[in-house]
Amino acid sequence: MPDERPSALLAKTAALSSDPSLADAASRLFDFVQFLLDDEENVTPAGNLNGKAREKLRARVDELLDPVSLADDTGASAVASDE
Amino acid sequence: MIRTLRLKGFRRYADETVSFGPGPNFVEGENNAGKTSILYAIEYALFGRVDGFKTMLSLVSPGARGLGVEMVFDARDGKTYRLQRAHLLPPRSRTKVVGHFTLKEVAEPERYVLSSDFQDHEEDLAQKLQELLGITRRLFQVAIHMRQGDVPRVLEGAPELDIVLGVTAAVVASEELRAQALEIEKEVAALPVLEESIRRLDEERTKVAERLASVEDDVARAQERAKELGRAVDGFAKADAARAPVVALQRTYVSAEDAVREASRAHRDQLERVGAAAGEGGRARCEAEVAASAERTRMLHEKRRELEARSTALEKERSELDLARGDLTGRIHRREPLHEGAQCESPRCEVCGAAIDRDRSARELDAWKQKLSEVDSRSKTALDALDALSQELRALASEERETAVEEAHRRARLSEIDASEEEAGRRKTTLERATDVRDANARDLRAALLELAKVTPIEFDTGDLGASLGQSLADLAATMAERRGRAEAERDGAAALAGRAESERASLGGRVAEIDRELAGLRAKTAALSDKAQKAERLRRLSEGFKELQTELRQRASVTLAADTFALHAKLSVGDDRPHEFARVIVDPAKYSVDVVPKHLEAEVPAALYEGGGHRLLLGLAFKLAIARIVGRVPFVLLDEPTYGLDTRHRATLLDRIADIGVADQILVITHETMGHVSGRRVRVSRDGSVSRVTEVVA
Repeated sequence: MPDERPSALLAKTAALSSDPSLADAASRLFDFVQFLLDDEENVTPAGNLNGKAREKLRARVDELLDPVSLADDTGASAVASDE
Repeated sequence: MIRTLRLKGFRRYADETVSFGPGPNFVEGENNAGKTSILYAIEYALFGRVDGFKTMLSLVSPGARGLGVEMVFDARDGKTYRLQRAHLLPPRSRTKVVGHFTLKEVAEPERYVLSSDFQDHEEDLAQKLQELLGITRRLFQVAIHMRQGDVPRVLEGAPELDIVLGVTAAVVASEELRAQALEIEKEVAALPVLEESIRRLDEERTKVAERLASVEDDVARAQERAKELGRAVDGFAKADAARAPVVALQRTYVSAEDAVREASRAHRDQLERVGAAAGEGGRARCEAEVAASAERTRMLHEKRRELEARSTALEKERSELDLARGDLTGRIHRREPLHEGAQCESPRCEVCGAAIDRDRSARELDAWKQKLSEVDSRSKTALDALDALSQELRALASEERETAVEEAHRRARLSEIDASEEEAGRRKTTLERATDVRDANARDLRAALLELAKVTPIEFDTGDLGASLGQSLADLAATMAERRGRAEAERDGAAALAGRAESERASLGGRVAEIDRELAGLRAKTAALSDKAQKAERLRRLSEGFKELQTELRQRASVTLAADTFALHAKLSVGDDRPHEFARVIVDPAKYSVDVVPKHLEAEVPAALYEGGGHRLLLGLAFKLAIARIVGRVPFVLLDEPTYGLDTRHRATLLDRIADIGVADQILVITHETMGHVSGRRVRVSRDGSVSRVTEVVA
């Protein structure tokens, strides 16, 4: 049975299928955005991320797209950054 | 799976514990007995808050100083955990409650996992519970907790499903990443300009570097040329230095030669003067004349001595004659009176005084007179002889004087000749010395010329060290001076050229360094912008990926939800008095609204508008359970009054089928009516005054 988790689906998209590291970053970003959206305090009434959450997302994007941190990133820092 | 749930001070529960088992668990009771509070307690235990309640204070039992819920559950990791939460009113506080939580692993002894008392945060607990149960608050709201009366409405659409399915995350991520990409792309818009600047600077640098290399060659050549000319000038200086002693020697030689010439001329002149002084016949004649003069002088001296001897003899004779005459005259005078008249006195002998006779005396007198006459005659003769002799002596003296003058003159001439000859001798000596000096100078000069010829191209006649050599040296000096002047001028020109080239090189080097600095700065900026451009490109790709993911998730979810809803609806409908009437179920991927295709219509109909409430409830329940299934394997499902509105027969049937569908390992169903005979654990909630109580119903 094919893996239908979002991370697996992301890796199969035309935009990311040729770049496993970018697909991995996308997967981590997806988990992080899910994590943000799961908390109502991060979401505006219209369902978008509020400013604080957007800053967190931006920081996470920078962290993930930084080649140095991307190599040894475990995702733990995402939680730590929300503390 | 939830094992037990303890509620203390929670709504109307003073302190009650509910136990649950796997599979269906039914919580039954009358209206307002406190059934839903059990689901609220579960939500509170998991998330520390309850949807619809702004503060936990409203959940606190009247009169209590706080509430607490303890939930024991089995997690995905196979272990059992105890989750405790409490919200307590601090002393003297009436409105503010302070929350606490503790998560322990149920073991011997129990082990703390997280606790607010240990400075753990709510987010940590949420993460841990997601890890242990696979539940998030959104998931709980959308897929686990089906609230009372919400079941039919879900058919109209479940946009919140986007959140649990990850579509919202994909949308948010896509838009956020696109926005970030746009921001960065604005920043990197200057990149082509920078790259063009770098290209131009590179070109300029190449040109300047080429020019610099050329100028460095020029500098090296000019410096080498200047050095070469400097060496040539040094050579000329050395030649001048080597020539200087030769010139000095040559001048000394010329002076010596002049001295020789002068000495020779002086010697020759002196010799002429010697000859002139000697006159005709020369020195021998002069010496002969001096000798002749000396002989004559000697002869005159002898004659003078002879004349003087004769004169002396004559004088002596005359003197004797004078004495004799005086004597005779005296005698006569004394006797003559005696012989004149009557003289009585007798003459006396002149010698003895004795008286002598007259006659004798007269005779003597006569004799005397005779003699006197003779003496006078002789005296006269002597005087005449003396006069003649005196004249002769005077002539002799004159002759002597003339002879002496002549001799002195001749001796003077001889002395003059001697002096001239002596001077000539000295001048000869001087000439010889000058000649020696000149010859020594000539030797030194020839030796120096031979040495000079080794370093300087000079031709000379060793036989002519005078004017010709001087002219040659002068010509050589002039030639060398001219060449040295040209070399110095060329050297100065080369040095000036090197200086200008160095100045240009320094300028070009400075420009190269300046360009390098500019290039480094531009390259750093370009590199930074290139990195950003790469980042923007990756953000774009990520955004596109998330955009694709949205569509993919929605499409897959709609297809899966439709199929699961159709299947679950069929299961829930089994044994119903009305057979499964849908040909298909369609889920709109845009808003997750449910359409059905009834078998008798063969057309899509919105499920929310189809048939009666019982049908919609069944279809909505199937859709909700399909949602619970699609989001993953949830540990439990909470259904609050899912059979609301059904008659007793259908409710019992439906509850029985819910127990069989196996959407989750555990299903907690709240129902306010007696269910009759259904399989599963049953708990009854009753109201005892203002307090809710729980009792287990044994089937």
